[in-house]
Amino acid sequence: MNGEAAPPGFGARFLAFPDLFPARRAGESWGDRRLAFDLPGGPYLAAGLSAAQAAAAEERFGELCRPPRAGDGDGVETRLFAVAPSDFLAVDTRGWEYALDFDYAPAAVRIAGIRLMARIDWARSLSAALWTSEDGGAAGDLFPGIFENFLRVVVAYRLLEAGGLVVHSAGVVDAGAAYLFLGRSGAGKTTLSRMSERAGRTVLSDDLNALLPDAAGGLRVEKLPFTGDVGERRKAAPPFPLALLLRLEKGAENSLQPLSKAGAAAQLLACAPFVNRDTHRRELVEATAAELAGAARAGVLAVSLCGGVWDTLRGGTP
Amino acid sequence: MSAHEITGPGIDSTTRLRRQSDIRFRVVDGEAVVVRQGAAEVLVLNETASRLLELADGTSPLSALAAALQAEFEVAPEVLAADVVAGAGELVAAGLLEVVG
Amino acid sequence: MSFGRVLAKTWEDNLLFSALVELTYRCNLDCFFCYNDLGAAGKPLSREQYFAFFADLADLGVLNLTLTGGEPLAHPDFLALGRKARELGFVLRVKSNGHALRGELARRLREEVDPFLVEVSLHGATAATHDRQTRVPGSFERLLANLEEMRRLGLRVKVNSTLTAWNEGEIEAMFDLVESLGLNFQVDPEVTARDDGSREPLSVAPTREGILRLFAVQEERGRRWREAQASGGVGAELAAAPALSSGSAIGKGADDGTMPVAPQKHCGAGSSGIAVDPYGNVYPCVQWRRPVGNLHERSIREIWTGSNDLDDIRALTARAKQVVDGYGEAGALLNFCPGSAATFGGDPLAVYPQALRRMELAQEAQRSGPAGKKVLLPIV
Repeated sequence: MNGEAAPPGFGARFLAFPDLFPARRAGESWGDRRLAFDLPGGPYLAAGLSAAQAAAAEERFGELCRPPRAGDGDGVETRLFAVAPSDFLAVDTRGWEYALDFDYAPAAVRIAGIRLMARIDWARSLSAALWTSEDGGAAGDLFPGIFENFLRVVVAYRLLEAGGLVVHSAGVVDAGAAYLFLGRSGAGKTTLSRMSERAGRTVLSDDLNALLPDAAGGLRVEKLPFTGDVGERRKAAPPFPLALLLRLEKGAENSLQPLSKAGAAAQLLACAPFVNRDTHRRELVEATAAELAGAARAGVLAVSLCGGVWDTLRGGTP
Repeated sequence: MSAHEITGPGIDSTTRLRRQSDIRFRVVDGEAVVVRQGAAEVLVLNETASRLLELADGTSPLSALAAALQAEFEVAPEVLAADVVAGAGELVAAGLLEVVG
Repeated sequence: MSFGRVLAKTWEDNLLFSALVELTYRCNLDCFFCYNDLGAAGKPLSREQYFAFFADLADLGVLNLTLTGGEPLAHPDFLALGRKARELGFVLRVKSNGHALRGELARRLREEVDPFLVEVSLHGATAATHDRQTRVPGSFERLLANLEEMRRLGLRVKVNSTLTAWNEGEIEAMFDLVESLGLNFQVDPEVTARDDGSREPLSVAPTREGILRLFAVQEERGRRWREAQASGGVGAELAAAPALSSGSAIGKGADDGTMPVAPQKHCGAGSSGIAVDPYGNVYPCVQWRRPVGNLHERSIREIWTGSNDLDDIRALTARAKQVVDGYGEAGALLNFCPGSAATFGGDPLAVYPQALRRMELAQEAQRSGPAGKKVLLPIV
């Protein structure tokens, strides 16, 4: 079922006729191209793309994007549909931070954004649909950004099914293990990422990383192609065992303090975008955060302007 | 019943008539099928009335419509003229045409 | 002259008179029993192609144009197409779920398109039942509110419903509800299979008792209406209209489903009507999903006059008449549809179980109607 008494004005910022928001995965496709994306929780399948959209997606996601194969059957499928620019309002993004509109329901999530309408449904298994007016052809076309914004949400829900979370974080590899620095915008993730990269470490992403349980009872960090300013966007990377889960703070000097399981769970919850506001899956999200926090070594890392963060990390034990 | 009584006052060969805005019609084998949308009513017109309906664009007087029809129907002019006025009156009474001011 | 005779002529002489156009399969509701084939694919028609198509229809003499879907208002060019339809003089019907018909969109529909009729669907007398079908919570209350707004704007509206196992228990309440809104109500007692052949919608087919109850309610309401007419109540002004003189240039009918006089075919599918899907595929009617051409490849005039498939369809509708006539007087009670037959079992001439059941139940309803009085069944 779709949104019950949808939040006042759902889609009103973006859509010319919010009442016409699609309630089922149907419409007229852009084309007949199909692609698969090898992201954590994948493969993610997309069908109904135009040739231009497919080319734009291949360009954006590089080796993470490929033609579908026989074994992809159980992947999460998104169908793309064409709508006209007149379905959308002209949006001036100056002066405010662009955020998607969500309408959460027991068996579906509706999403509205700039030139974007999408839904994620749990009729039998997770599936999705995206309606956009961007055909991927023109220079400056918004399609890559639209598709990425949408894919971020789908991946978040798919990983939740797998017992994991997409987390606002900087993910940095040191000595074969991944450190996850949790923090919302402005916490210092990108600064830390740049600094780490200059010092020769691999940055997975300075924006979003995937945290999942592994078979042995520990945790692993998987790279997502969703970055801010730092991190590879078009190539795969192996998963890394989680070394430390760290709440990032600014401080007068560097320090590493313990973080309780509850504190770590709260931090994961706060940094899990899209799903953490879904009241219909709240229990699942909280339980997942608690499970992940329970399996992690966690701490609070205060970072000063003086540098030497990695010495602090290596030298200290939370 | 005189032609005047059928048509009502005000309709003669100088009258200009046009189709009411809420009617829709098509001609099927010479007969016009007309829908009066407001009344949800369907009417079927004979050949003469159908042609009258097609020609009544509000600009030409009935005499001109009769002259146009003269070329199509082998009828004595005075008979056709009377038929046209009578027919026009019926179409006005039926709500298909209106007198142009 | 009579409308029935004109209709018969269109059937006999293959004069295209009615066209139903599915503009899009996008929909803002998600009705469980929807017949759309959501797996259908192809290249949508452009606005210019629709304009040319509509012009061709007008040239061919088409009077009735129905825009449907999915939800036709969800098509990006709906208002432009509606304006064009108005300009070309069609009697335009819009089949909408009504969910978005409020505010600016409703106002623009009235001012710019001014359709002959907006047909909306009601699935129950309660929110629980209606929303169960649409699978959009709040859709019932929204529809009622929008109907009120549509009437205030002067839109002409008719309410349709399909009888299902879910709503058959509240059919009287549905009639009462629509009557309280001052609108016409038409109920179809049959759920059809999906256009892709899936019989899933049939899982909510009404029961025998439900269909009999519907027939009884329809008879009762029809009787009440006729009595009201006769006694000067609602509709009396129509009944009392003075008869036209015998020399009248005008024959009268009504938009009540008048049937052709002495037809040689079972129906007008492919003879006087067509349906078109969002990808330009042309079908004999909305129910008969055998494509007879595609508007990307040929104009409707070329298809209408040159399609071998249409010739076949026309021959089949003549044979369908013989099949139905084989049932004698009861044949009409089958409400047989060759398109439904083709979708259900592949053979457009095979009388399918729902039709047989309909005939049996209609006969039963006739037997149990007021003594000596034939129960009048609506033509669907």
